[in-house]
Amino acid sequence: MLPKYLSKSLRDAVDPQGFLDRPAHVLVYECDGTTAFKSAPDAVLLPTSTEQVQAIVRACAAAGVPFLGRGAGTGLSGGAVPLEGGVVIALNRMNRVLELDVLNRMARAQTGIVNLEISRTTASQRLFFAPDPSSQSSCTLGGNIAENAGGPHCFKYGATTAHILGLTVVLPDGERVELGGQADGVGYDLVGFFVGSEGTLGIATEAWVRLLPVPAAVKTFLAPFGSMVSACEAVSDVVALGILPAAVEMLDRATIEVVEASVNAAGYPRDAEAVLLVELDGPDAAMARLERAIEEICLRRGASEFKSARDEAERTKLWKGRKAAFGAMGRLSTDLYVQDGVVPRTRLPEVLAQVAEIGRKYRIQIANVFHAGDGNLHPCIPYDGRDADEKRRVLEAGHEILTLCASVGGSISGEHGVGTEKADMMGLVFSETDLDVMRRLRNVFNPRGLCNPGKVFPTTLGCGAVGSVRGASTGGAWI
Amino acid sequence: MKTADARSVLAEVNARPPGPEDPRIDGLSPSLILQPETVETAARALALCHEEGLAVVPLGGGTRLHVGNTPERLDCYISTAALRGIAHYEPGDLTLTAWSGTPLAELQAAAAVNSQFLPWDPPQPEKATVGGILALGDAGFRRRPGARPRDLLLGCEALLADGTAFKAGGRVVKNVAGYEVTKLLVGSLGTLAFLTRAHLRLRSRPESKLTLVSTGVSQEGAVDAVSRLRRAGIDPEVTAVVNSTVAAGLGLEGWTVLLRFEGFDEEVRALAAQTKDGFTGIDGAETFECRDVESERMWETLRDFPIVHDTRGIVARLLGLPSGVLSAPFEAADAVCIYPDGGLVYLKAEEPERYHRLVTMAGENGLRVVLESASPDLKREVDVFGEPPSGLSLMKRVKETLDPKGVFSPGRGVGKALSL
Repeated sequence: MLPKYLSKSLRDAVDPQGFLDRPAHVLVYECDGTTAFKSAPDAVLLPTSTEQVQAIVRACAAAGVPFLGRGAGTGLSGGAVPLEGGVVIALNRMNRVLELDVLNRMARAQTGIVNLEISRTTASQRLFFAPDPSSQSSCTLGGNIAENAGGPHCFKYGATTAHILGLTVVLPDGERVELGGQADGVGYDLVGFFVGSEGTLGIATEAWVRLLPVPAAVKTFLAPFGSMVSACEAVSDVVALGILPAAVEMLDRATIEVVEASVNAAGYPRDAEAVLLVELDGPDAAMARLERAIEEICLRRGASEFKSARDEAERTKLWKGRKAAFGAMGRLSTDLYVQDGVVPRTRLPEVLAQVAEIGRKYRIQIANVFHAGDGNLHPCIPYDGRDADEKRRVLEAGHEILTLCASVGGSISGEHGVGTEKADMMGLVFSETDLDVMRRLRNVFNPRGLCNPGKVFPTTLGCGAVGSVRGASTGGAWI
Repeated sequence: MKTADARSVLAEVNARPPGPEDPRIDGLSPSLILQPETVETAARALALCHEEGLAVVPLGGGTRLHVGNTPERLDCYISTAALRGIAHYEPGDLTLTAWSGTPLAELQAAAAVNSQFLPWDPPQPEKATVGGILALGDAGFRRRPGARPRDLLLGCEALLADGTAFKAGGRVVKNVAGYEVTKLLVGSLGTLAFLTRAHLRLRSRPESKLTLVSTGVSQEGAVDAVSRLRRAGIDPEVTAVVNSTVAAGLGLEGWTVLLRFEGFDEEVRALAAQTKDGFTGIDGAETFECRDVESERMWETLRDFPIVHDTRGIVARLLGLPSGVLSAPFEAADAVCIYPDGGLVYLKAEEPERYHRLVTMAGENGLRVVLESASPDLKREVDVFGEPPSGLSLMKRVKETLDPKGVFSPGRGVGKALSL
């Protein structure tokens, strides 16, 4: 419960419909895409301007009440869960493109805008916003900034950080600051530091984003393989040829079966052990030769066929299966645990074999769908959250997978962020000193810890202990 | 620390007074040059400097030590010269770990064995080091995202001012675990930490390279042609527009546009052909293709442009929007190199008085002047970065939290008055 005086100042800070505090209304904001972590806020604010965000933050700061910014709530690490209650500042009403600079290929947008809306707005100028997380038709720019979101095409174009030029940020004391801007600046790269800070340094309300020219040609190919290893080898061969595909995605047999049984069936062969999806984009001139080269590699590595999408409809269909894979997992069980480890690409075959071994050890099913180009794994573990023993095994297996990723020189998160879920696993990749450097830097922006508390940093001593996964509760499909 | 202990710490980092060959910063020399051979001895030496309140400037190849404000104090250089070599290289993953004192040319030679490279082209790559390039945050004429130092540094190991070793980022090409501390270090001009190792992402060498040169145009003609290219969505790997002084150094006349295409053979040829069409019709323009040695020689000349041969004149950088840097009036400068991607201009002027005219011109055109090289007197007189940027108070707090005693490069960064 918020103190009465705070409720009043919050109510005054926004439009009449911008304040929610009835339990039934705030319940929607108790979790993000990771339903395993739930905690309802005391109030939800829906501001329409940076000034309103400032007023909300100032009121919270004065009352010592925690707050956090939220986009569409599609995050996959519990980054937008108000662990200590307090105030959720949902930016969804700040959803406009404010300026478009075609010649300089930039746009200024409010951060509550849905990712795909940016490209829709700029399409007539043949420009697009490159970050494309699977949730791009619903996730927001602000969430992408907070998580440094990736997506299949960040293999070629880089994650969100490569596409953010400047930010308007409301700091945790309510001060508004402009970081970076349209032109290169001087001094420390605070924009680069802010992107990926998971909402713990302040709330970005507007951003200058970089736009790219829509490529002249796009080609999408599909190749089914009899083994994951040979599919991985084909990827390595393609990269070794100096080809930089726009995306290189892989789905294993378990995922193929689920996708093909769903409404988003993409025509992936059900008897394949792995399906490789490769997309090239760029100038038209070399496409035909590169297609032949990739086809030859795939067939040499044992692909049963090589399919090239003939038109936009076929291309969309091939992608639909991949982008809807997480959703399709809902067919398998009540809950889903999606992991997000990264390994050096050349270690993929051995790591995938060990992931399968971990599945057997914990008696769970693991379906793999992942960004093969950059070694970003998404082992998906369907489970029944009502079965406490199964849930324990799933979480332990997840932890073991991330330990494996770290042990081969990888990372515990490629694009979903640390959030609530992996805060206690940071010790797998960072020493206490490394974390201390980060904590000191967080305190520069957020000295009182009121802005999105409980995220990123471990809260327990023995970092990574499975038993310490906090707030793990039942229910929901974790997609 | 006891004198005897301090002596042994200094001995193990090969401490010595500077000689005539050692680089100076705006005429200043340190009392000592420390050249650690290991991270551990470097850490002990920094801890000693920290305790004694000394001012330490990290030193790489010394090629661009003049960039930044004149240090307020300068007691030691801590050199990376003995922290050199490739620590780890995974060609299949296109990742490489180098010690910070590795000259770029040495790294390129190692990567070339596998037809790979780091798309960085700083002046004097045989001397410029990985650590120095990252500290400067500038790697030459490739200004498109994906090629800049901030894009290709996956992670690093470094020492704080008190000698504490820490790491940031990781070794894989995709990673969002923890804060992007690497982004703060890139471009921090040695004011935050001493970099010891860098994990870098390499590129495959392109199958084909071609430079399209259009020479003998006016500035307006060049601006017009480049703007049309951008509108057409044609993206050369590098776009450079140079004035007649720079063109003369390339054996050309008048304002000149140089477009560097890299990629697969058909792509490069098709793009060049398409671009050439766009250039026909520009008054007086002579447009031709250029490959191999002839082309590389031109790019090397442009690459080395920011090097200072004579501190009587000035070398400055202008930052702005692509459209802004293309069309600014450059009467106050003698030599001008414009890189519209990333909105950058390099220029030189022979007379230092022109600096103030440049600042006026820049202000009127929405550009920022960063003075790189000038006489020590002029550099002391001004803040070389110009007006303080927005966010300066946060930058100051970042500096204070990582280096509270102001050991690293005091006064060199932005906000001169704040000793960043």
